[in-house]
Amino acid sequence: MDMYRKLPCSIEGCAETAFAGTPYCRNHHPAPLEATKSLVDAILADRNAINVDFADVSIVAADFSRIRFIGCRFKKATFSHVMFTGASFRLCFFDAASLDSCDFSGVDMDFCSFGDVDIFDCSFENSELIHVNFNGSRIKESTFSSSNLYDSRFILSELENSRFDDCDFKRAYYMPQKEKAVSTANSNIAEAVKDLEHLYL
Amino acid sequence: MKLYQHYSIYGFSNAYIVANEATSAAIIVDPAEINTTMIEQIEHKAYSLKAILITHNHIHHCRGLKTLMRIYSPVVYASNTKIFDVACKKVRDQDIFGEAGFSIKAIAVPGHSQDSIVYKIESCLFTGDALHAGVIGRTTSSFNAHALYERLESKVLGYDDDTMIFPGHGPPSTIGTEKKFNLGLKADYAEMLHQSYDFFV
Repeated sequence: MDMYRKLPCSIEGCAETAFAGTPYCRNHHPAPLEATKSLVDAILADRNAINVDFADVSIVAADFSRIRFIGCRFKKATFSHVMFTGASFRLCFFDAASLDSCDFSGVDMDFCSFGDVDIFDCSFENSELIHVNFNGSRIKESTFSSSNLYDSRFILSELENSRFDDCDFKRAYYMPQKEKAVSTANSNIAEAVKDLEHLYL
Repeated sequence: MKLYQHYSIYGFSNAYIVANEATSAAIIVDPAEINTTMIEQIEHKAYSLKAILITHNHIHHCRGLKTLMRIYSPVVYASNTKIFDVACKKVRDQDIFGEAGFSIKAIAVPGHSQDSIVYKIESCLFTGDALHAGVIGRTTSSFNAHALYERLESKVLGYDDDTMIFPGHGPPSTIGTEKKFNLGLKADYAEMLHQSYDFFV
């Protein structure tokens, strides 16, 4: 079930969304670091993260393998050495987040946004990345090999030292503004939309 | 607010169910296709379908309208008075109306089509074919391209960077990402790709 539910901060007049599963936004929460730790523990116990606001959180060395993320917001979140192996994502927004040495291999991701994200040394191998927006992302030292990129977008992305081997680019928009040492061996890159005259709109 | 996204293989377009748990009511935006999953989501949660919002009268965004009207009795909002012989409540630019417990704002953005409307519900923009992740809607003339660009710039891009964009095709995005990485909003980039291209301004 794909859904997004916005939970507002319970402080009257505050327009921010609730933070880390609490009733308050980050600005109004009395102990945001403890709230983040509690949030991680709760997700690991429940194996689900539904409508959770991870905005601005910083998480190092956590294991979210095979967790189900639905309708979560990761805006400006920082993840380092975090495992998302085999996790599933629906309607999640990672905009302006920073991902360093994270493992997204084997994920099942549908209708998510990674716009303007810094992705360094991450693996998205063997994944279903359907309707995922990577526009403007700076992707370095990462691999998307053996993944299905159906209807995903890499518009004005910066791709460097990354691999897209054996990927399915059907209906994908592949228009990076920078492409250096990118491998697309055994991929159907010819099926990707690579210029403005062939948009599927 | 709960949001369910559906991908229609007919026209490769997105349809959305927007539900309000507080009122047990729902709205459908662009019924590209009505399938059993959508009906089940409405019926299992016992939502009362109050309204259908049509972003523009192109068949792959409203093909399921007649099917829905056979099952439910929602009010259909569009900038047309009639679609497929279904009477519509005409919306005009900046109209604000209430349905399912939501306050909905209609924003006219002609360009892709003369009847294009963007609907704003809470922090979500349902942009139809006016604005997609990384590109703007296809237009048939440079005049329409100018019109679309100017309307988006003056009426849509001014919203908060966190505002989520749910387009008629492709993955979701946010206003912040589109302001930085949308090709259709970058005249110099479009011209660089195609010297004679007048599709984008």
